[in-house]
Amino acid sequence: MRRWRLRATVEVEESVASLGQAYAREVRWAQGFRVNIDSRLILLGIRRLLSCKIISDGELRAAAFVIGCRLGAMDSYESFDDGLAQGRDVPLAFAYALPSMPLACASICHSLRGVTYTVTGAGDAGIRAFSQAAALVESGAAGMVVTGCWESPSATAGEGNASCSLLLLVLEEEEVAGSDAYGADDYTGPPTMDEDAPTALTVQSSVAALKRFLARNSIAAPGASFHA
Amino acid sequence: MRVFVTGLGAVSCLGEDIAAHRRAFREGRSGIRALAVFRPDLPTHAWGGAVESVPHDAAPRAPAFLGRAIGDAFRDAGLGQLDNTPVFLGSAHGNLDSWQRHRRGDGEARGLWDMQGDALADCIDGPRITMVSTACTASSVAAGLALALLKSGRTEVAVVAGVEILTPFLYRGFESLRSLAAENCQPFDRRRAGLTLGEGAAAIVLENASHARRRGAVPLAEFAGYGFAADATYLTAPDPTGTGAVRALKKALEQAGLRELPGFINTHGTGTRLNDHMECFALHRTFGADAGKIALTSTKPLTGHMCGAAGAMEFVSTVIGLEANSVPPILGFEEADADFTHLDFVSGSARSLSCCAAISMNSGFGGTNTAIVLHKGAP
Repeated sequence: MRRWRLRATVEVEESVASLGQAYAREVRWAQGFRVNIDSRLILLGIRRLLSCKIISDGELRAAAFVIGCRLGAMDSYESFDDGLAQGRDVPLAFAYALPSMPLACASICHSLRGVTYTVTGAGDAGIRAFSQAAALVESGAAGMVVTGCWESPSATAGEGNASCSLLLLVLEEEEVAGSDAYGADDYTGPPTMDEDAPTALTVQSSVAALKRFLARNSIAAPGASFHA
Repeated sequence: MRVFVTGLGAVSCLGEDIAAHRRAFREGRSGIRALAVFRPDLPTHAWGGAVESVPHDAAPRAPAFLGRAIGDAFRDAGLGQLDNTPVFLGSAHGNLDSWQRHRRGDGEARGLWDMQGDALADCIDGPRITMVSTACTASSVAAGLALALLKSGRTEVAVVAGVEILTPFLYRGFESLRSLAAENCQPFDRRRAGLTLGEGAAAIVLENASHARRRGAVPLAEFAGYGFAADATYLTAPDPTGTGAVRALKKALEQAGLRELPGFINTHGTGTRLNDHMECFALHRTFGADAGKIALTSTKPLTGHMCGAAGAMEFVSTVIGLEANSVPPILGFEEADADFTHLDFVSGSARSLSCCAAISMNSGFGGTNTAIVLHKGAP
């Protein structure tokens, strides 16, 4: 049985305006000047994983990505739908109106050619993504997985003034013998969300639900934790 | 650990249950038509594959489609109600209809991805739902996640389903990208001019060998291999070299341990110039000169492009092809593109073909590619 451990976490919390500034300053992706808010958030988080040396370029390219979202790409959905209501087409907004586009942008920006899965749902999206990521390591399908979830503002959900938030976790395969990382001898697989389900489905933020889930299961990074 | 397909369900423009789909795929019958009469919400020139039995203004339609398809798959599998079963769902846009209506001030708010259980209550008590959205590979990715879970031994049975609804948002979006054919699509034909949209849901019951044997289930096929790879090139166009599709195919073939050529491949085959060219190139790179010995089909002229549900629907149509020793035709295909003349496209009517294995391929926006290898069902 393979087991996983949490190498590190990165958390990003920005207003839409400050996200734009941080993205321009830190990401510097020439092709990415028109990408949507969600994609900027993911690209910024990955850039910080690299700049804090939590993960190397080579490890990043070899890693699988399984990331959750509750309101993925809502800004683009709203832009395209507003265009429809006004009788005009906004093809760029339609192209970005998919929750998987942020990871697609990351794939292009960082040459990620392996697993890039986006898990959607309600407040449980991040927990679901985390469970799938852990299962990928345990099954041997991936030696390292970047997982977590993000939230971005949605006018439709009445959260237009909310900030953008992202929690990324790097899970890696570990040697079982002599390890004191997550996974005791009676380990029975990745934690499930059963206890957290009632809460996770009603809370507003999938990031908050994932944090609560991690705390309840005593999953803490043995290494660096970077909070921007 | 071997994983078997023991039940199929489907709702689409071809009909309301899997029996209707088995008939339509064998007959090579299309459900695509002009939609002006019964879809006043779409442009008057719209063509597509629409489900008429669930009115277009009965939002949310996705849970209704899902409930029917999963119930149908349970009946096909001879299953009663299950408890706490993992369910892997794929959709590109989820509850787009109710979301759009809510934005117009009509109807209650419902999250795009809120498929929590209500549609599945007749089949599963306490479903453990994981929903993925990777554009048009969403439900084939869902199948891959289910396969991994079954192979890990953490569950004995899992349900996979894909769902997509045809909305003005989806139609106008593809129209704005100039990706739509004027009428029905013509995959791989030299005159192909774009895709045709469809809607509905498809569902698959998967069981490990011991669970299927214990309850006396008859396997319809073995789910032998799955592969996924990203292009990392463009957001809304495939990598013209087909590298991502090649890698997905090779991973799936390796996992399946397939020693002989597959009898047929159910391609993504959208009818767009770029997709079809990329797929043919990928097949040539994967199989070399032997690519011409494999029968190729696309069922999108029958069902329409069901976007996030395409992977599940084409998984289903591939199993039906293996079951029936019959490969559905590419309706509308008359003359191959000059670049594809070395390939064997099934045209005109269904082709009788007895084979041991077949492949279903999908690709999507963002450069996602999947391949699924299915073996003829054998306990």
